[in-house]
Amino acid sequence: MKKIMFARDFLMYSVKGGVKFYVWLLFLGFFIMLWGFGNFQQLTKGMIVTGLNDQTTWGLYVANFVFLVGVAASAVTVVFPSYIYNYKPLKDVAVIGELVAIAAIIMSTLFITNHIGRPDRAWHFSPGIGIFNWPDAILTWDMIVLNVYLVLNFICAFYFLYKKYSRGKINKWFYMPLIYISIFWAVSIHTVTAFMLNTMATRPMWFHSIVPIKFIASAFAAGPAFIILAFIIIRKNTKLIISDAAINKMSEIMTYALGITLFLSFSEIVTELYPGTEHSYSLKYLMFGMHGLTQLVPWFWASVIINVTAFIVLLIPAARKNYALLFYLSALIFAGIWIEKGIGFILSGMVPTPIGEFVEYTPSIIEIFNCLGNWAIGLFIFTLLVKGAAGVLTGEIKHDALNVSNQP
Amino acid sequence: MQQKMTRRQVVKKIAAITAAGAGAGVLLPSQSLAFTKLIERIIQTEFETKYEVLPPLPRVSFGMAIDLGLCIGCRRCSYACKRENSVPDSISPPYIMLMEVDPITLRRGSSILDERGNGLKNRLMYTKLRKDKEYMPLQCNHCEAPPCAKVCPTTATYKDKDGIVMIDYDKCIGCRYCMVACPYNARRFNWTEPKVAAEDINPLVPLRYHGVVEKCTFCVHRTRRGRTTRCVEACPNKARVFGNLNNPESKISKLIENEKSFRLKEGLNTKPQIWYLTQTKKKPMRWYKPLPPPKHIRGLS
Repeated sequence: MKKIMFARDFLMYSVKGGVKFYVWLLFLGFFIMLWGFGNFQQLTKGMIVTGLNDQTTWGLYVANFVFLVGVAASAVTVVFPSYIYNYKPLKDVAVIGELVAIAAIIMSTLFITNHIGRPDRAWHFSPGIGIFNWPDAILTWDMIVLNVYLVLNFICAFYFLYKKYSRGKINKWFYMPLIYISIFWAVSIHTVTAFMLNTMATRPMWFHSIVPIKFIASAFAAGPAFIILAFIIIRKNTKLIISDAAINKMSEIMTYALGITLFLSFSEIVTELYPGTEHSYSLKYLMFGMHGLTQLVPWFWASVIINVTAFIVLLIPAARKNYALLFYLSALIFAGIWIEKGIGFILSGMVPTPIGEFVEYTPSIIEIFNCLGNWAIGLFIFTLLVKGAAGVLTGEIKHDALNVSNQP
Repeated sequence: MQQKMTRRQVVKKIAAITAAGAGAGVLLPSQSLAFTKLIERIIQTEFETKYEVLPPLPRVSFGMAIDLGLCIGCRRCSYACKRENSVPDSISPPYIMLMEVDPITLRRGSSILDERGNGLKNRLMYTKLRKDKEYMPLQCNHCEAPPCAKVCPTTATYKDKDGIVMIDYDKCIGCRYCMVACPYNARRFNWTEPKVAAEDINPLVPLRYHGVVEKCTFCVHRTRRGRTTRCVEACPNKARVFGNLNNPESKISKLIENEKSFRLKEGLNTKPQIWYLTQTKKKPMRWYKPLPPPKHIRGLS
């Protein structure tokens, strides 16, 4: 009974808000409409409506998927200091990190559903009822770790919120093991996603043992960037108190992770370009363009400029404390890592093909609609979750004993 | 008297009801028609048509040798393969591609396609033939350790006992991981509903569906019935030899043993079952007029 009340109260609170709130949801709703159109086109006409082809078979969908798995994994940057170091300012709002993970995993699932040619057969790819090539195929590992991570975060976040709501005491023996597992699991999801790419021996761009490390480093820059954005927006627009200390901690983590990412990128570039073998063609195509194909070059240099500038500015402690500046820096880093990881790493890995064809891939408008729509759905869910969570954390919705007795 | 509905009609009805339920009020009539067709197609491919293949032959391992000294790049294998396997026009490039190879690289032997993409000096040929180049057909290599089968999440692609790398079109979910893993870019995806005129469809090789991957099958419908592949038959210069690798007396086993040969990207340890012979004596050959390059290559202008 209490649980149903919690669900009802949470839901009711999460959809109520001011004008700004509804404008934001309507804004997202617009993209969700485009998503509906795009998905309809893709389902009825086939994948031909995308810009993909037999030479570049993985495109924007996988790029976004990989990036979002990173964002999901970075929930650990909130959970880890909160529960391992018992860092109080973050511990109060650690649940927001878990909600980021939930939304990001939902988004990445949507991207994979868009990516596969036969979404109606997605059930083939589930353990037990389907035909599951486990443990051989890394994609099956990825599917397991992502789903378990979603469930873990869902349980952790909503158990915590429910206890807060019903003013019960958290059962440490139930809750803490889950937290420890989810910390370990967060690292595993992005590692497995990286293994999915860097075990492709035939794609020299990806065939680097540095990839899992770099993935985690860049995720721990992009994720905190997103969380800082969320923190600043939440504290401006809701009654939830997020202390400066929490934001400072996140910006510190972001800065270090960004520094490590830049270093790893640099060592990758040196390793590839110094010997100048044919294996570096993907990177050369990305950095300078090859055979007159230069589509990705501006993206690459934009991400370099963004990330390096943001890193240098962030090294100044005063800049990190200036939250107006930090807001824009976080947005820039989020975009910069998205370019670096999504466009830079995934798309350039497809060019040239293993037999040396240079084919440039341009996403179609339908593909862009679907990508925007997936983001909009994720942000929509995230907004509602955070709204409800803020209500619970501030104590605006709580279990009312009187209310229960009034129920028939 | 009640007329019995055929299975086809039942499917149509289910599809229509589902579509109506799902899209009521949201979709325009033309859209809901498209939606109905989609669901109908899904039900059909899921439950009605089953892709059937013959069981593998016992104690056989199929392989092929391609004599580069004899190949003139006329593309007859490619065209014959397309017709034999009911490959629709929407599949491009065809199963058998043609590489333009620098003869000097070829003489040196090793680095036509070394491990990890060393073939970049040579390029896929979509234009007309040149007399100063040599040509190399490229298709699924039916590797002994196929990376595509390893990464397939649903075991839709698998290495069969007679050495053929097969695809079960009923299991494939279209994630295209195999296409990323394939070192030879030998796989093709059905980006749209494949369309081939009814009279052009080989009854032994039914059409595939949209959203699944397909590729060369070593003409499984022929070879498991004791015949040779269509590309071998089509080659005017007899550059291709197909046979059983397990039989030491077969022509292919002897060629591999006695002639200088290489396999593609041996450093990747995929152990292809297609050998390229490089230094056989050139036999006097007729010059066949090359067929035109395939049209409508997606992504290539």
